[in-house]
Amino acid sequence: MIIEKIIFENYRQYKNVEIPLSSKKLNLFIGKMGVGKTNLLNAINWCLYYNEPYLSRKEEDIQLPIMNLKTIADAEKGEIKDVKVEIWVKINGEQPLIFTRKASFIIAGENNHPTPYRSPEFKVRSTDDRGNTEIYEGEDAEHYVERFVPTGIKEFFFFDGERLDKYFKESTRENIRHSIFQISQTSLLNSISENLNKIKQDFRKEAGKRSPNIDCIRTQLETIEKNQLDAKRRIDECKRQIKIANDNIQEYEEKLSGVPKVDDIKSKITELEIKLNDKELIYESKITEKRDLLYENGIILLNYPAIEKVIQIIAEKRKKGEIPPTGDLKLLQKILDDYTCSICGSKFSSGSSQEKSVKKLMDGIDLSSEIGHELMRIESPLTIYQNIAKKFNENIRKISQDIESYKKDLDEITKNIGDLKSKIIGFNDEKISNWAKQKKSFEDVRDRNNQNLGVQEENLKTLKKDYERLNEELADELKRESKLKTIKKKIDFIETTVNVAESIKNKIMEQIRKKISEETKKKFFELHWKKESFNEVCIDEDYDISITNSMGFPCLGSISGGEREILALSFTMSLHRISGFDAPILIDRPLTMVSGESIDYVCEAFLNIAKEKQLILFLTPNEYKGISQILNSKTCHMFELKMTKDEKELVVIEV
Amino acid sequence: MSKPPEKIYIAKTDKEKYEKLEKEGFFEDRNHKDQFLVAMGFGVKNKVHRSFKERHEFFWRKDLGIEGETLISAVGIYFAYDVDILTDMSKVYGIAEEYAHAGIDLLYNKMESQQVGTFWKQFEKDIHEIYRSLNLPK
Repeated sequence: MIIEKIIFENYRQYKNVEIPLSSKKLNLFIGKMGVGKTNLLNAINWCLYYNEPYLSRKEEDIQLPIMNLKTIADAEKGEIKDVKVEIWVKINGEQPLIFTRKASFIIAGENNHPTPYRSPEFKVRSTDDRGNTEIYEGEDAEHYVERFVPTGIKEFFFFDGERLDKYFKESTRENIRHSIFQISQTSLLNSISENLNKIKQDFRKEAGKRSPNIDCIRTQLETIEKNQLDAKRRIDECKRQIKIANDNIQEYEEKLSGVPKVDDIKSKITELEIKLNDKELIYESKITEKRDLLYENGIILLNYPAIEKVIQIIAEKRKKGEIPPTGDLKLLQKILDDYTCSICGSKFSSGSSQEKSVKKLMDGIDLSSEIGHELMRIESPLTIYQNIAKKFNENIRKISQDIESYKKDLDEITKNIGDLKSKIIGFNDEKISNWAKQKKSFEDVRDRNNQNLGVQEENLKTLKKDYERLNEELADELKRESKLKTIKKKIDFIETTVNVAESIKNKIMEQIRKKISEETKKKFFELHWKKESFNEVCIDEDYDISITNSMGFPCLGSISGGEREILALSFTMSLHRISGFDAPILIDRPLTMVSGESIDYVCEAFLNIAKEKQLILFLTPNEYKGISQILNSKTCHMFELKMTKDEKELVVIEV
Repeated sequence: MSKPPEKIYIAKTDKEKYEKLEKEGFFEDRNHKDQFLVAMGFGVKNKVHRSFKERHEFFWRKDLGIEGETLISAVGIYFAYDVDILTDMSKVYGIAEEYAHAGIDLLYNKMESQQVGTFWKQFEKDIHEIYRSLNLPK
């Protein structure tokens, strides 16, 4: 099956273009970014499935009309214009099948905005051997699309490079299971089972009318069946949520890789700033403490000669026995002045022996008791001053060391804060913080759903057991009631049929899995340039893909972008072969995630694929530069895509 | 023995110097007693004293406490070379006031020639030098 040609009329950049494609060679389109390469992919989707899944964000944001801008500009107000895409497909060399989608618009409004005029029409033209042409519309036309590339599996035929790269990175098991289910085309068996179960419920109702016991069991069974369906739905929903969460986590992980963990760094900075503040306060208080010490000790040291001298005088006087004072000179002087003893009151005369005795006593006393007492009073503070002076160096050194240590800490903390700040400088910290929060919230969603999934799976197990038990009870009751024999037989028959349908479905899927696994392995080794580096590619019973290197170790996570692309293409081609839908493969920018020497090998692989299947690739001139030796006009059917000067129309040049 | 004075005086001309030293930070958060004792210390250390006539009441004597009184008594004895000076406490306090008068001048001039931060460093250096020169037993 090949696309023979595509005809465009007023579709986006493609105003009036016909592109003939080669069935034998690789079809290569080269055009700058924004020229309209991806819209070729969109045009095919629009024509066949009436959607445009690869619109650029810009096109979505500004809601560019689907109609060519030049057509709009040239149109008269009120004029009706059509947008049309026609795909000519050839199957097994027969007459072409022509898919045509046409949408009519009326040019109206201030900016000549095209407004849908009538519902888009979709037609398929088929010509038989005798030249008779038949036109199909509506459901019949859609049926032909399903024969070409069914909607459910179209994603395995139309790719972009980024998606191809992610194919075996994200939710691999789910992707593969989904692919195999789609390819197996077992949905018919599913609907058979569903319908039979409905009929079974009707029979049970009928039996229930004849026996209250049966009716009671029937009601319970129906409740359980309903609960089982709910549980399955919840399980599917949990799995869906887990997949969405994982995809988003992956996306945010990619965004966050290579950027600093802003939240962690910010909280570390805050922590350090608090520490810095505390240390600064202590540092300041230590500086004040040192100044106080210097000031107070300074007073003592400046006055120290006086302190030392007086301590020395006191010591001498103490040595002489003058301290404590032995007599009171003042009292003795009063006795002499009054000629009266102050103690006994007796009087004496001048020149008397008493006067001589008092004078002799006075000569023996050097220090008045007042001075002696004063010296004793100041002796203790002076001694304290002396001790303080002696310890000055020790005390000041201790406090200076403390200050030095705090200063060192402050410098270190300041440096650490600076280092941390420099890590986030230039980054949009708000954005990064938001990414981290988003990632965390998706991780929470994933964890919550994982938990819920476990609960629901347990619940489903219990419901299954209850169902089996009640089903047996129902069978027993039905056996007891002889008049219900026919109904019992019918129910048994339905159950057997449903089991058979399930078993057939599983067998088909299992067979297809095995075939796809074998075919993927075969293709991978055909296409890979270093076959000796690997010894196994396998899709196991749990739909996990594994690839083993020559040493026998699993290596899916460590293969290069190019190898990942080869693996995805091998898987895709095996899906094509097994499904029987031999449609072409279209890949937009297939080298986006491939680098280094792998590029050449991947291009060689493209040429190999093109030998057995129509392959259509879209590249930018930059991407093409390095591979022109391999992919060129000799090996490929090449097209150059260029815009006209007014940027409103695309010109397709065959090279 | 004469009673000690009720108040401690500084020269009227010194008031401005004390205020300036307070404003510039060296005397910041220090009471008048401490300011006086450090000024006296500078006079004692440099062995300079100057009498003055116009007095300004600076603080109450009782604010000195036993420690301050002791220092003033020691300075009095040290420069009078006689403990008997203690019998005339007004003389003792007069000596202390004269040394403080000369000391504040030295301190003020020192501050004027330097910045506040440097002045503190210089003060620390001076105190260390004094400590070393005293050669005190440890």
